[in-house]
Amino acid sequence: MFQGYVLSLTIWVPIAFGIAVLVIGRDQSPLPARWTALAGSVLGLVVCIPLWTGFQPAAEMQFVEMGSWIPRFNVNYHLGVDGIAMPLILLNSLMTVLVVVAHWEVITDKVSQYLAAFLIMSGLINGVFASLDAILFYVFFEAMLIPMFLIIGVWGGPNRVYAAVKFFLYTLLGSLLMLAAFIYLYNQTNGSFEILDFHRLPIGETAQKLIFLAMFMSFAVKVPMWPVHTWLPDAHVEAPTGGSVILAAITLKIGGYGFLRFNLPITPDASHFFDTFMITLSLIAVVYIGLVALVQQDMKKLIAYSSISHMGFVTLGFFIFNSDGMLGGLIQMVSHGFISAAMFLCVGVLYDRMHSRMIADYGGVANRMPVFAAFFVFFAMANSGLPGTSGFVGEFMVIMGTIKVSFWYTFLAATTLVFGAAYTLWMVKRVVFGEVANAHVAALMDVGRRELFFLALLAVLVLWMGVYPKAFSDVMNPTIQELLRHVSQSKLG
Amino acid sequence: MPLILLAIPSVFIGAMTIGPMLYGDWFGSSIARSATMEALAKEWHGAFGMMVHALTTLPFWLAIAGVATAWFLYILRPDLPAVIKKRLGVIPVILERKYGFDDFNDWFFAGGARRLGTGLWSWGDKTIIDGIMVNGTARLIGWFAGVARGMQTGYIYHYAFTMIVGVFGFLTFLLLLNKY
Amino acid sequence: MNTATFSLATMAPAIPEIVLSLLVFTLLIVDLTLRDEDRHVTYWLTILSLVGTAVLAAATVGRPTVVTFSGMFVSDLMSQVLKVATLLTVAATLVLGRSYLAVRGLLTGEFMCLALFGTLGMMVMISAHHFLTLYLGLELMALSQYAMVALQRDSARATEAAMKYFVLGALSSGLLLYGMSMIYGATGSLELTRVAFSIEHGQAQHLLGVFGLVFVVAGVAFKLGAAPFHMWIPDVYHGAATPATLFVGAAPKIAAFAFVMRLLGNGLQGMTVDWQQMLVVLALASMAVGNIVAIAQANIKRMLAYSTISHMGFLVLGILAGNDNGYSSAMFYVLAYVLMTLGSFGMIMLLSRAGFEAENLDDFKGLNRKSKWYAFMMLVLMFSLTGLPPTVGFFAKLAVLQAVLEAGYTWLVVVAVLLSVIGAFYYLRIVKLMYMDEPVGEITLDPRADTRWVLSITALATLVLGILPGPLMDLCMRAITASM
Repeated sequence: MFQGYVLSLTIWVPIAFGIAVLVIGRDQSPLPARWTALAGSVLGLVVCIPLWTGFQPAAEMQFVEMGSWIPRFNVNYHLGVDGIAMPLILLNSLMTVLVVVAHWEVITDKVSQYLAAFLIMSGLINGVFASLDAILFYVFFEAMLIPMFLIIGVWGGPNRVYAAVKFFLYTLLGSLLMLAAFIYLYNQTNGSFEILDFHRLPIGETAQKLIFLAMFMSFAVKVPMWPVHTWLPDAHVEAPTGGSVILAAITLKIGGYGFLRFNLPITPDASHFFDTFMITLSLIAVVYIGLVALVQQDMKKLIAYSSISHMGFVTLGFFIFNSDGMLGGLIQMVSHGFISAAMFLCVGVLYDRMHSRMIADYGGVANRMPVFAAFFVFFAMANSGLPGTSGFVGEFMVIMGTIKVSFWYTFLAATTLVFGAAYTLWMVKRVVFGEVANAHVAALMDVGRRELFFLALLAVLVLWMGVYPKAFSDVMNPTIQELLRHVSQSKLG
Repeated sequence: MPLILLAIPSVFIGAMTIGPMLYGDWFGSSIARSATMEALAKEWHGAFGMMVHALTTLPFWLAIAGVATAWFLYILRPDLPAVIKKRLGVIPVILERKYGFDDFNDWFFAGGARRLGTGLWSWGDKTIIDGIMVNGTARLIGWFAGVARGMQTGYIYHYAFTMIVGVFGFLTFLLLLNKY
Repeated sequence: MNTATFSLATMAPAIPEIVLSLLVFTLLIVDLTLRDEDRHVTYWLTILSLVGTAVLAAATVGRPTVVTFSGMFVSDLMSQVLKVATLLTVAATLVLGRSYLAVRGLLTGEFMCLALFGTLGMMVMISAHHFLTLYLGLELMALSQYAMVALQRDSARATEAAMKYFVLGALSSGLLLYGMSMIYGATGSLELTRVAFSIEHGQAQHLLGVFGLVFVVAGVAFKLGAAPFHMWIPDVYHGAATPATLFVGAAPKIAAFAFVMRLLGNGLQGMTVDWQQMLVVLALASMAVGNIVAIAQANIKRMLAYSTISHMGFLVLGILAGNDNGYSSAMFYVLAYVLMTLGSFGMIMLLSRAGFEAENLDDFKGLNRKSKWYAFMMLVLMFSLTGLPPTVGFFAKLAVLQAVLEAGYTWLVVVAVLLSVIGAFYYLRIVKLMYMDEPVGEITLDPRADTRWVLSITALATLVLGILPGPLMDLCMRAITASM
């Protein structure tokens, strides 16, 4: 009976619950706020289920909703998902549940505001993925900055304000240029902000290049691509665990999603023109950032750099223009969502007990926390792309795709397998194995039921995607094939 | 010990899944099958065939010889290694250090990668991108704001003068533009 | 179209103005009879007059365009809408400033009457159809403002500000008058339609017209506060008592917008090519000065003053597109801006108390600890000033940028956008202070319920209009097409 409003529900249920949490939240007794937030996030996930069960493996937009919003500029409330957007909405709704579960005993200051920020952001992010109108997309895209800014700035670490402001201004700079590009396209289409109209619009060569660069600025910052990546390690490190999870698992994906939804189909010729440029930046991210990750002393910073490196794989896959690469990139996005969330949650588990993120403060954790250590090692393996985990599938497919283009791309991309294994396993070795390093480690308690829940859930997902990626690729493939066909046609003239 | 534990299941899982994984339909249509893979598939006769085939190759017998030697030297005659070591002089040292490959690897690859990483991080990320490009821009704007703020002197005649300059500026601008 | 006969029917379109002026005079007399402790009667009568006139003005909305008083006065959809907005803005200004004025002994009949006279001036400006009525309205408004700034006699800062404002305002009026006289020389008329007619049919002397144009635009730019005619703004905003600042900073912007529309849109539309160039410079200079210098301010009133300058730059950006699309986006912008100004200055007054001005940035530290609701209100206002969705500030900027891009100024859009990013920093800083810092001193909130309600409604309106901007945008578009 709600079939026609599934997407609206995925957006507005979390937001409504977020507002409810704010209203009922009291600083003295955070429990009602917590349960309301949990109910909201679970309900938010439940309303997403029809997306998975009712999705037809086809290229066109599904679950479409359409209504006029601002007639003066012909802006519509136009929602719909395809094989690219749908998995990301599910991923986001799932992560929101995990974040709410993960905060439970950890956040004690301004609890209701913290939870409300996450719930509202969750709804806004679903809106980003579901929008088929450029202004609607932009509104969600920008509005999302506000809760994220507060999450990093209010509940973050010592240098949180710098990180929050840097994150905000970086993202704003990119997105405002994109807005200018949208307005240009609006004027060109004689008054339409429909993204699908943008896809069909023929654009001249110079204009395409400028539009590409404007949108590139916006999404490259989000991905983030080298050299506009430096906000990410700061933001990740300073954000509370939940913030890091959402940042790594979801908001980075918005950048990749943007390339697929905007850059490639709107400016196909410019995309081909800039492909070497994009591939170069992606490979720099893979190699350079891989090396940088190797020397990090801070676990969160290490995972942050590892995220950049993995996202380099995503953009690499997108810009080699073949089906392996693009599908691999998309699978890598979802997989990285699971794995990075798991890694940050693992670090969060340690941080909650020791209040340190420094690798040097740990050692021999496995002796005191065997269950946790098993999960941590497993996720580290997945992060370094062990076959049988989801991390392997995407990387493998992207590498398969690059082989068809150039040996050197493949060679450089494959170094990630070495570096990835090196930095992740080295960190795990220093933290988990060895002798018990100090009295603090000796006093550690193993994971509780709450922590076990989210770690096990993610482990199952990582394994599922690793051994049976077909479940995901079947959903994505028709859209990817259609996109590739679209991108191969010139829009000049 | 953990390695053995890992090895045993991997033998079985490998034997069971290698066929469908590499040559079958595991990934569905998601991975396009290349010509090389097709060629390899022709040589493929199943997991047991591969095991049988292994028995006829040289590396397999060398490995067996290695296991035999080790069993002889360390289990049957544990006194022998010391004697051999004494007789051969410098060679055991080289062998024990594995021809120096590990040290070289440690120093060149691991150390080099770490040094390179540190360099890229402190120079690339911290100094050039963050230091000069990001914070530098912020500092530049801040400096400029400070300077521009100084123009707000508080004197009426400065303000009035700015206005007059503005009017004359516009006049000149429009006259030049229209080429009167 | 000019009716030379004087009859009651010709006066009908000006009923709101006539009623308001009658009410002011009545109020002046009534105030004389009141004892000092009954001053709140004057206050309530003022609010009543404003709201009553607003209702009268609202009743005229939608009437067909009428030019009356021998072509001096026009009542069209734009003026009808803007008058309602002006009256409500002034009323809100006084409600928000009540406690502030009361504890400083400024809640006097003089302040109220000056506010009403100023409002009358604005209404005359909005409905002017002749250079003389434009000037008349402008001076009535400006003189009231000078006096309101100067009213806080015991404050040296306020007196200095009033002095500066007066001298520079007189200079700008001089420039304006000089420019008008030259346009009269060039076209032979002071009536807007005839001026436009003369220019369009090539009967005007172009060079003289351009000279006049420069002076007129300089005078207008002063009223708007666009750089390089902006120097008075920080000093006056900082020096005046906050309600006086708000009175100077909010409603007059609506009137100044109408002034520009009458002058450039109605009268000098034929010289668009000439004034467009000037407005480009004005817009660029204002956005640059406003956004960059605001960063170096520690006083929130000064910071908001620079923020005003940058917003006026954006407003000018919309006007310079030179077509209905641009004008209507500028109209939307000015209404949105006034709403945000009311909220942000209202916030300063909410936090001020006897002997204490919450005018330093540090006074906002840790507001979230004291009051989640008002911290959130300020957050909405700041993000609206930044131009972030889902607030009205975003759609105002969107509309303006669309118009400018359509007019072909792509590079201008890119520069405007980059300067907004710089500007985002100082709005963000206030959010940071409220949410991420601990309070330094005691924070008290104005306890008056009506003040709180008005403040909350203003701030929420920026949010609601950011989610549903459609109707107001349509109204602006209709008003402009009906009036230009």
